[in-house]
Amino acid sequence: MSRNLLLCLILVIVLPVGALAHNVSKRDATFVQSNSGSAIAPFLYLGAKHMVTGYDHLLFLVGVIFFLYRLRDVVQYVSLFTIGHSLTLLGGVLGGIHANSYLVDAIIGFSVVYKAFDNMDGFKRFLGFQPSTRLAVLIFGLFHGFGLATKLQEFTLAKNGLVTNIVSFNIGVEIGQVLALTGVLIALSYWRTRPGFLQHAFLTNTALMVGGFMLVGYQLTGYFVA
Amino acid sequence: MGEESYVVTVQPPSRKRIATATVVALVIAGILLVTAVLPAEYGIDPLGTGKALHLTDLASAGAARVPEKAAPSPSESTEPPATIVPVLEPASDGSAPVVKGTFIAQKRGYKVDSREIKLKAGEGTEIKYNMKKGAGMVYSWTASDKLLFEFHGEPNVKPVGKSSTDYYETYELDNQSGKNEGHGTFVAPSSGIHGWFWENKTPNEVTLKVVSAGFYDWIFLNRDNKETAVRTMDPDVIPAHPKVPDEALR
Repeated sequence: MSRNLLLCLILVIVLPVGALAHNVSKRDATFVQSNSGSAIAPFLYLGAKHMVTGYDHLLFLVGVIFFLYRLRDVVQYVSLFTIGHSLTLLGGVLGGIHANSYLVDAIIGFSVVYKAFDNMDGFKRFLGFQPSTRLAVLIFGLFHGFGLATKLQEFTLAKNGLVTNIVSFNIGVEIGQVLALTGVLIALSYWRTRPGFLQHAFLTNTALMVGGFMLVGYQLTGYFVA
Repeated sequence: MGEESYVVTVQPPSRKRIATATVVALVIAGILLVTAVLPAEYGIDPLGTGKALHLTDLASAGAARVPEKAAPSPSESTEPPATIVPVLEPASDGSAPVVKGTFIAQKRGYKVDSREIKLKAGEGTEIKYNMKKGAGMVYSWTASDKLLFEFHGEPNVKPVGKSSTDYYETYELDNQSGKNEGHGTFVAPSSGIHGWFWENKTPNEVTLKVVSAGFYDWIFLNRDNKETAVRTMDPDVIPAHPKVPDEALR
C-alpha cells in the first residue's frame, strides 16, 4: 500500500513534466492555420489529444471523482463539468471572446487546489458548511472551457467551416475526457479495494493540492513576465 | 476489509491537520516552482538551482535560442532599433502604392549570407535571421525542385497571452504545391528571428540555395531538429572593385 502511495505521488509530480504537450503543438498549429473548410476528424483528434495531454484538466477531474463511488454520481458530475466547459468553449470561440490564457490557466490551477481542499473536508471544517460541490464543478467547468477556447483561438481559424470544426474539437475533448476518465476510474477503483486507500486519501489530496498550487504559480508568473 | 477502514476515516480530519496540509502543499509547490519550473520555463532563477541543474537552458532554447558564442556584442545590443519611416502608402485607386519614404538608415551591421543545402526526400530545414524591428534584408532562394515553405518570424516579445515558446507569425505560406524560388525585400515587423522553413515532399534530393544581404547579426539554423546559431559572413568576403573587371554594357 505504500507502493500505491508512492506511485500516486510520483504521478502527481511527474505528470506536469511528462505532459508538456499541453499547448496545441507547433505542427498541429500549422495545420489548424492552413486549414480551410471543415475537417471533422482532425479537429476531433486535436480536441481529444488536448484533453488527454492536458494535465490541468486531468488533475481537476481526479479531484472531482476521487470520492465518487457510484457510477451514477461520476456521470452526473462529469456531465456538469462537460456542460460548463462546452458552453464557454463554443461561446468563447464563436463570440470571439479573448480571455488572457495565463489568468484562465491560473484559475484552472486554483480549481485543482479548491477541489483538493474540498476533498480534505476543509470547507466543512473551516466554514461550518459544505458549499455545493455540483455548483463548484459547473462554475470551474466554465473556466476550463475558456481555457480550451483561448488555446484554440491562438490560431487564426478559417471562417469556412468554423462551427463544424469547433464542434468537432469539442466532441474530441469529450472523447479524450472519457478515455482519460476510464483510466483514472480503473486505477481509483482498484486502489479503493486496497486497505490503504482511505488512510492515504488525505495525503493524495495534499499532493493534488501541490500540483494545483504549482499550476497557479506557473501561470501567474507567466502573466507578469511574458 | 474495505468496510473496516471506511469506518476509521469517517471522522473527518481536524482543522489543524487540514491547515498543516494546505501550508505544506503551498511550501512544496513554492519550492518546486522556484527551483525547477520557473528556471526551466521562464529563465527566472533566484536561487541559482536552474543554472546548476542546466534547467535554464530549456528556457533560453525556447526564447532567444542564441548560444553565448553567437550572442551580439554589448555595443550592438544597446543600440536603439531603427524607426520605420512609413515607406509605402496604398494608392486609393488600387494601383501601385505611393512612396512616402525611400530608405531606413542603419548605423552599422550590414551582413551577407550564402548557403547551399541538400534536402533528402521528406527532409525539412529552417534558416532564420536575427533582426531588429525595422531592419531590412534582400533575399533570393532557388531550389532544384518544388519545396513547401513557410516564411515566418518569431518575435522576441510575444503578444500578451501567447505561449512563450511556440509563437510565430506567418508572412508567406505554401504548403500545397510548393515553389522552387522566392525573391524579395523584407523589413522585419518585430525584433526577433525571421526566415524560412522548407520541406522536401518530392521523392528525390533537392538542392536549395539561399542568398541574402541585410541587417542581421546571427543566423538560426534548424536541421534534423538540431537548433544552432551561427555567425554571418562578413561582407568583405565579396571581392570588391576593381578585383571584378568592369563590363561595358553599351
